[in-house]
Amino acid sequence: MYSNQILLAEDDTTDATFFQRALNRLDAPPELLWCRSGTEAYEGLCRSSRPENMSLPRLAVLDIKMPGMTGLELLQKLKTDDRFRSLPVIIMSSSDEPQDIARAYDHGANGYLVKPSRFQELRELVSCINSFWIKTNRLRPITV
Amino acid sequence: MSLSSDPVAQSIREVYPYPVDLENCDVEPLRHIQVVQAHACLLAVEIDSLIVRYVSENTLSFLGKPWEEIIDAHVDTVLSAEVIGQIPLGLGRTGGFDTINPILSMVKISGKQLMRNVIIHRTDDLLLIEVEARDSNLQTAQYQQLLARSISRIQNITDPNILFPDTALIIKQISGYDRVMVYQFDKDYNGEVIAEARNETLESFEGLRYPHTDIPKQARELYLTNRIRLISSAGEVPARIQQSTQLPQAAPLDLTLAGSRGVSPVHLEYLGYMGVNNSLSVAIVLRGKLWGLFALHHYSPRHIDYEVRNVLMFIGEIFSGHLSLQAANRYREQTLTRKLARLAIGEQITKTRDIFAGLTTGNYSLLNMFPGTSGTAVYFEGRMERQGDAPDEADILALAGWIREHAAFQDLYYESDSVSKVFPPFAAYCDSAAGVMMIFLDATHNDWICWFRPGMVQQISWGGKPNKQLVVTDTSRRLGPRQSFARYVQTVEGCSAPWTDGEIDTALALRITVINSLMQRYTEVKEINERLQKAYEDLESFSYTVSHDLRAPLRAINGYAEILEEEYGEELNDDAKTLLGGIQRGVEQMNSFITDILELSRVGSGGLQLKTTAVIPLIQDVLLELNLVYLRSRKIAIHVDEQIPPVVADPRLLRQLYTNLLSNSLKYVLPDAQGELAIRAGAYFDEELQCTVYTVSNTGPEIPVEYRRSIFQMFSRMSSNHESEGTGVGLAIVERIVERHMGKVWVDDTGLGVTFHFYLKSEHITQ
Repeated sequence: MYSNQILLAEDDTTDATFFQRALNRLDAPPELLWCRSGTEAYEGLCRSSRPENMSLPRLAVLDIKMPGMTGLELLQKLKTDDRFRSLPVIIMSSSDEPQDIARAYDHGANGYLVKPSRFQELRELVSCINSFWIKTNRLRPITV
Repeated sequence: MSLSSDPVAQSIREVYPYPVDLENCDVEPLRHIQVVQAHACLLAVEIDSLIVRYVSENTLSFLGKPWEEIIDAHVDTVLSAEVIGQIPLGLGRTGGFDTINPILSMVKISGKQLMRNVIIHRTDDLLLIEVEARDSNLQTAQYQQLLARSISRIQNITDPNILFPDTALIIKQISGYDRVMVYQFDKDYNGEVIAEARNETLESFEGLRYPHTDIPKQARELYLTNRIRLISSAGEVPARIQQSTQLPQAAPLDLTLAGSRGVSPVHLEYLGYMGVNNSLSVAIVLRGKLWGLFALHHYSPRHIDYEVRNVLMFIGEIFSGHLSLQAANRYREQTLTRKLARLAIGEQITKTRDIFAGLTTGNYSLLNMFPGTSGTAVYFEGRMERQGDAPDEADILALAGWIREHAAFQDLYYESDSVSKVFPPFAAYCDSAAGVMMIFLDATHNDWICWFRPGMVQQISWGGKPNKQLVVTDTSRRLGPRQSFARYVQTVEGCSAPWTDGEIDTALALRITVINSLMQRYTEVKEINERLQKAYEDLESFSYTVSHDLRAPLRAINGYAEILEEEYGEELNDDAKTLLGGIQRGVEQMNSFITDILELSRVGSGGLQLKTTAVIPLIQDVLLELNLVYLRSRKIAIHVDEQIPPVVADPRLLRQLYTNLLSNSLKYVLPDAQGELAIRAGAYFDEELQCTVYTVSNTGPEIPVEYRRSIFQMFSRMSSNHESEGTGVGLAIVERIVERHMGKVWVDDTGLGVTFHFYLKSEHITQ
């Protein structure tokens, strides 16, 4: 059973706010679960994966630069854990350095999003993400 | 060569047991010439028995008895008891017979009482006893006065320039000889007359030079033992020495210590040709080596008493001492001067921070460090600089190559006073660079300093008459000053004055000084480079960090402004909207700044991925991208040449380079005289640079010369028009990219009006 939720791990309030605002413009905005750190996000995911409330978010959007567990570290954890392997993860960063992008995909990211400098662009991106990852696509669950 | 044709030589030859000529006189056993000169007779007696075993045939005139009556007899047959009584005295004293010579003796011949000087020397088990006539007019006291005066005069000479001529004059006055010359030997014992006192009617021999063969080795050695040598009468026939038949073995008598020792026929011949009748030579000895001679010549026969000879010998010894003092002073002075020069040069190198300037400019330079230097050359890091009359650069390089080939790894220097003898190509420089000294600044002998010295033949002359110097008029005579001079010239052909030990030491000390200065400079440069590198890296990481960190707040400002506009646009009045627009424009501008700075910091970081890159498609691609931005409102004619060769570069950076250059042109393009706007990209081959130069050109007024350099600096925008877009970083990025490719970029007013040229030399990149 999948929820209609997006998990956002982002320590920056502004960026989180923009993300929320961009989501709000959608016709049927998914619910945003905002975690202020990688650790908080991981704990939240672990809780929601328990059998009694088996409801993982549809998508995780992780900022790279976060105090404590970074986005990439969390990504690695998720992609090596059978419980979360099928959870799509998009890495979000202000960096457009090719090596940063490559590293994210190496760790198993399903997408990479450069934080745009204009809100309008962010809105467009969020709309795309929503239509691709929430409305249509979904990763095949792996049964062991 | 033979002496047989000459009557004088013939007569000497009769009594002379060895065949000699100029070629072999170096081995001629002078001390075994079994004759004595005519001015003395000689006896050799056994020390123990005082029996005469050798006697010269001329005893009759000196002692009143024929030699036949003397040989194998006791010495008291001819010498008085007084004289014989002195023998134990001479044998017992530490100074030997020198302390009692001459012993005055009277001899009765034909009823006449005659005065004799008896001079005794000990040689092994024999006593050599010479008997000479004594000058009855001689006042010993008078000579002693003269001696004292002469010595004080010599010692008072402080000016080294007049030391030699004045001493020659003093000796001439004492001795009464027609000519007194001061000979000086060089290191090979070639001689030169450096001063002279002579009768006015005589031709000057000053400046005369002669080869070392003129005074052979064994003759020079004899001068060290017996410091005075009289050749009393070149014309008189010497007396043969007879040997006792009772001796177990026939052995020639060693006449080293005998002043009357017979003269080599070669030397007699030499004197004879000069017309010299009487010659007296006094040794000048410096630090145990024969430095030179006083050579006294008289043209008519004369007797010179033993006492007078003693006085002259003494003057010779005093003079030697004086000279040694002077030489020491001069050496100290020269050492001091050279040291001063070396230090001054070192300081100059440090001051100018330039090895070439340091060595060749200033009060002291390589050229005046050593006397008689004709030219110098310095080779350092592939560059050569010459001073004075130095050979051609290519020839010096060839010589350096030859030296490098022949030098051992540990060699610090090379020196030669006749380099053409080992390196024939230098024969052409016999005049200006016969001698060379080179010091190596590094172990591979690649960097060096060298000095050149002119050939000596260039400098020497015959008695101040250079035109006559090589003319040998009388070829039938093979001995004599002119012939000697000619032979000397042959000997020293292609030779320079020698490099002395002191000079070599100084050159080596200079080497250390230069190396130290270089080390200091290297260290400084290295430190500066390291600091620069660090600063550069700091700057790069700084601009990277700053750019990233600046973006977040900027994004915030922009985002909030946008949201405000989108969500509350309806509620804002026009004024509020304008203000909001101002915020957004400011943010946008800031954003492009950050993008550019980030771009700039990226240019410097990371390795280059060099590839041969096609330029035309790249330009077209870039133009396509830029068209969207710049061509919306204006009509600009864009031309890309059909022939633009590919270039080896990092494609990402090359793209950035063209993006910046083309966008710069698009930004600043202005109508030409016809009102047209145009941009053109092209390339040409530059003969001088030997590479392809790429160009981007646009119409518009030329960039003033004073700005043509500074437009490549960061944040410099030439245009005062604030409406112009751009951050002023674009061209700085261009220059950085070009520099990373070891190339150059510049701007001029060719082409359409403003043209940027650049070339890349990626092959010079060492990664």
